[in-house]
This record gives sequence, C-alpha cells and structure tokens, in this order.
Amino acid sequence: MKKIQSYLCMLAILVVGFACSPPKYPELEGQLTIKTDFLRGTWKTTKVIQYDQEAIDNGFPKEVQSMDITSSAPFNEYTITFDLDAQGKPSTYTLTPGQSPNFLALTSGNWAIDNPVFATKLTFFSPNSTLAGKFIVKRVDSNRIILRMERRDADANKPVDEKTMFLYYEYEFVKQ
Amino acid sequence: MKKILYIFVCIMFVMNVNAQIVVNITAPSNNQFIASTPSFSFTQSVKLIVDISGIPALVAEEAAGGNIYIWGFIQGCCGAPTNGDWTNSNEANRMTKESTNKWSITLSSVAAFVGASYDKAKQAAVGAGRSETETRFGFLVKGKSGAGSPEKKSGDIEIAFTGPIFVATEYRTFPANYSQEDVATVFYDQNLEDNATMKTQTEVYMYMEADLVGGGSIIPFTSAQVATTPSLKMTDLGGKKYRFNFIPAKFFNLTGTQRISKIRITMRSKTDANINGGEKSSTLFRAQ
Repeated sequence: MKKIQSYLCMLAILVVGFACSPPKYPELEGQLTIKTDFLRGTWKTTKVIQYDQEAIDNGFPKEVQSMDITSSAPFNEYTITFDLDAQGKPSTYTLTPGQSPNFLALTSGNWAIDNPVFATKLTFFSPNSTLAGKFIVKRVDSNRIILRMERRDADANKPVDEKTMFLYYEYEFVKQ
Repeated sequence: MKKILYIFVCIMFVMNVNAQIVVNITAPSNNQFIASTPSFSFTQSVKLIVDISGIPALVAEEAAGGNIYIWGFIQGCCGAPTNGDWTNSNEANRMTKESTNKWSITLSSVAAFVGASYDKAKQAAVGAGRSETETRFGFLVKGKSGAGSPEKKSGDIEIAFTGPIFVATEYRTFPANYSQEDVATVFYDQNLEDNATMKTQTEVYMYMEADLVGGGSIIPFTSAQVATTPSLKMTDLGGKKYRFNFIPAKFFNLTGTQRISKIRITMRSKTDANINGGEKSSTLFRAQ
C-alpha cells in the first residue's frame, strides 16, 4: 500500500512539474511570419523592458536581470509608422520618439526587412545620413509585435554583431 | 523551533555569501593548478596570501628591499587591466608584506580584477578543454620587473572559482553597464547603509557629477541647490528602499560631442551635504 502511495506521489510531482514547465521554445510561441503588409501603419509602444546583460550572464536573480522602464522615459510616446510602396514593398517610415530616447538616432527615412518570408530584422536608414539602426524581431502576434534593440560597446575593431552587448531593450508595440 | 532554525540557516548563508575568503598558497616555480583552495565565487572578495620562499629570485628581491606584485589573468581570456608592463608592474598590483616571504593582496572580486564577464570566463574554460563551470583564475607573483635570469617570478598559478553570486549592497545601478544615452536607475537600500545618520533620513536626495572624456566635469545642480530641487529626490519604494531614474545625456545637459567617462553619485540628506552615504561611481560604456 505504501509503495502505491509513493508511486502516486511521484506521478503527481511529475504531472505538476510538466504542467508548470515553461514552453520549450518560448521565443517561437505565437510567432507568425511577418508580411510587409502586416507592418503597414502606425505602431505605438505599450511597454519597454530593459535587460542587464551582465546580470543575465552572471545568472543573477530574475528581479535584477530586467526592469519595466515604460514610464521612466516615457516610452509610451514612442510610435513608428511603416509605409509600403506601390508594389507592397517596404518604403518609408516615420518615427516619433516624444520625450523618450531614440536609439535609432533617425526619425524618418527608409526601412527594410532581412527576409520577405521570415523576417528577423527591421533595418532603418536614411538616404541623407550614414546612420542606420535595427530592431530584432522577438515576437509577433495578431496586432502586437515585440522588437529588441541591442546596445553594444563601440569597439571599432569588431563587426557590429560581435561587439559586446551590455544591455538590450524589448519594445512591445500595438498596432493603432 | 523550525522557524528559528530556518532563520539561523538563512543568516549563516548570507554571512557566508558576504564573507571574505582567504586563500593561502605556496608559490610554485612551475605552472600549477592548485585544487585545494577554499571555494569562492566570481564576484566575491578574496584575499590571496602567497608564500614565495620556494622562489629564490623573489626571496632575493624581497631581501634587497623590493616589493612583490601580482600579475593576474584568466588563461585564454584576458589579463588584468592593472598588470602594467612586465618590466614595470603597476603599483595597483603591489602586494602587502605579511611577514618574511609572505605577501598578500585583497581582490574585491575576480570579476572586477580581470574586468571580464562570467560568460567570457566560461568560454575560456571550454576553450581549455574543461566544462564551462570549471572556471579558473590565474596569476603569478613577480618583482617590480619580472626580467632577469632566472626571471623574477613564480610559475603560473591557477585556482578555481565558482559562478557569481548576487550580493545586495546599499547602492547599485540598473543596468550594471550603460551608456550616456541609456536609461539608468540608481537603487539605494538604506537598510544596508553604514552611516548611522544617513540610515535615519526619511528623504534621500541625489547629488551627481560627470567626468568628461578629455577632462573637465559637469555639475548640473550644485550641492547647495540639492535642497531646492525636488526632481533630485529619490522615489521611496517602501521598506527603506529608494530609486532614481535618469538618462545621463539629458540629466547633464550634454552638448555637441561631449562624452561622459564616469558619473560620481552621492546619496545624501536633503539639506545637509555632510550627511551622505559616501561617493559611488559608474564608468560609462560608449554605445556604438
């Protein structure tokens, strides 16, 4: 009888354990293929989470790895409008940061995606400027998109993606 | 009774996390990994006491009135920025004479001493054919100049360290590293404050100065202005914890190409600048 009880107990632990497990690939959960037409229009920031890369690397407690800073800047004034050309391809954008920081350093120009079927990066540039910036696509829902802005150390000797990332922001945008 | 025991265990754990570790080592003449050292973490303070009696060149150096220096590194990753030159060690790495042939140095942490992330230390371990948790701190001890025949140095010594442990302190910034364009948050925990008068303040204010690259500094609000500037008041989070958000470029009203190298921060009383928690500092990153 005791054996049966202990087996039942183990089974219950396993069931609860699996029920509480996070999805195996959370970054893919709910992800959709981005079509340029999906992005057309104005997107407004509803939330910005800042992540400390050093705390993440060090495996520090979750509460010191990230922080909601939406109201600190204030980021809820930050909007981007994506326009398409006559062929439905990415053309111009307008970025309105309000009083929040604009890490792209551009407010208008052209935008592009790295892959028309499965976009992972949105690149912003201006014909009149050498500046360019990018958001990394983190997650897409029906009317919501989460984009990551990485902040890397200015090491002139390394290509952009190999420069040390010291923090990143995740912007949650909702379509207007 | 169980509760008391639990609290006691928790207190002992916290004390252990904050305790300084002392590592005694007899310097070898050849390169060695010394496994039998006390366990300490990447972010923990560690005092190294090194016996140089087995290295005749260093014994002679000491006998001649010379000092002994540490030369630190993580093999396959990085050297301590304060090492200096092989023939002219940096004074920051000068050890303290404990007794004849015994020299010590206290590192605030391996992380701070080598200036590398734990991620890099793990990569170095893997690069050396170990598992990523088998991270090692390397060093040797030497004369001011290591040159000579034989060289005035010990063999390379490696000792193990564990992953970092987060230790709450009275002051921290979030994130730990940021640039002048980023949002930064200063957290202040009055419960951990050493200054008895500062510990009792019901309002906490910020006083900040920025050192600029190329020299000069910016003080947007003088010490006398702090009391009359409500925006410098830290937000009370309850439980004697406070927070202050700022974007350095905006807070210091940077113009043109001005760039901040370091921010010096003092948490203080609203009206009396002499009541404060001591100056802290943040070295800023330069974002691409």
